[in-house]
Amino acid sequence: MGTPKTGSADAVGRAGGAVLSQLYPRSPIDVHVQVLQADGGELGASVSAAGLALLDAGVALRGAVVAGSAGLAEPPAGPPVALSDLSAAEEAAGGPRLAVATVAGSGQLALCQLSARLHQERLRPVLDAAQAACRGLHAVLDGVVRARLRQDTAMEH
Amino acid sequence: MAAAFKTVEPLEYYRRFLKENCRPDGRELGEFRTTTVNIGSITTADGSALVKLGNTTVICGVKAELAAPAVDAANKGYIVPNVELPSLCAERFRSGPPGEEAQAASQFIADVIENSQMMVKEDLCIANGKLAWVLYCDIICLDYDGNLLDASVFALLAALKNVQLPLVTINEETGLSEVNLKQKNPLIIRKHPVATSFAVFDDTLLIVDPTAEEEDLATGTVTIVTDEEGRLCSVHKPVHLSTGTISKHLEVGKLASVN
Repeated sequence: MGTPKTGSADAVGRAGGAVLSQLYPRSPIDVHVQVLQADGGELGASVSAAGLALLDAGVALRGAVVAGSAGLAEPPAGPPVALSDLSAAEEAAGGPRLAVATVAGSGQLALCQLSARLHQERLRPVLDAAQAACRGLHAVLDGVVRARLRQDTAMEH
Repeated sequence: MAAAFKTVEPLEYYRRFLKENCRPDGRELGEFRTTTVNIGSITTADGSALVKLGNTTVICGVKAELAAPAVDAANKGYIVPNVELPSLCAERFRSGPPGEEAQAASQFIADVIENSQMMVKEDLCIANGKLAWVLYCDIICLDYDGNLLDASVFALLAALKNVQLPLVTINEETGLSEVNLKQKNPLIIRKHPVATSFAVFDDTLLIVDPTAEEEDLATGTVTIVTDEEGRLCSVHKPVHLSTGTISKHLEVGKLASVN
């Protein structure tokens, strides 16, 4: 509740990259996202919600779009640790934050947005942590969508 | 056949139901839709409530902040309501600055708070002239199917009853405020106003809790706000009506608030 953050609308629009837009010529598809409660990862949640809403609307997609975030914690002793799905407190700590959206089934990234600096050598573990977050979320959403489809259409598969 | 008639002559189609004293969704003229409330779902807010009146879904979040009281009201805090109708709740609303309906609804809620005296602003004052609470009440419609005002008033009341404010004291030596998050108290709610909205058909027939379709077909809507003692707090009547029709509204409104 409050003024919209700039840049986030653009990121949610990336979820639109998965839409098979050649099937909808000269047709705008408006996606509206409302954040009710913010506790970290709002961008990822908005993109995931937009992807699920597009599925619910029956818009043709390349694959289901889910997003997640990851960061890097640097403990005083020991190697840096990649963290999946940052909470508000972890985001506020000021470390690097990578937001990633995947298109399921294609192995492609719809969104890859980094804020704050990250050393090149650390990119791989953080990217893996973000993709792990996406895979976990996709498993849950996929189950829900299939169960709903079964209910709505009484199809077996 | 019926669907074609409804598309071509929606008002006539509707009148056929009204003649039998019922409505297309099966309700009687004085019947409310199923109402559900979910309290405290937004943990980052100081108080929150989600209300569903049929398909109409409204969420209210209350955030409490500290501010200096106004110079001409040194012993009063503030209650700032804001109603938002985002584009996702109905096709008729576009993104951008608040439209007419949202602004009118915000003003209506502010009037209800003031007229019903549900909260006394002096109760929000912590130190006269120095520190007071500001309650920002954000009411957001998530799904618009008519009767926004009743749902908004209900959500606001439920959210305010859910608020827990920490104890704030002013340190006499330093003059700074100290917030004790471990000791929280609920707000003092003195009155419980309930809004009842009616759609007016053909200038005489009144229908309680209209859906969006019914609102569009009606000649106007009237909203009556009463409190638990049956006293009238507010009448919102943006349409021409006879006084006889208004008295009829008041009777049904009182019955609704008792429920």
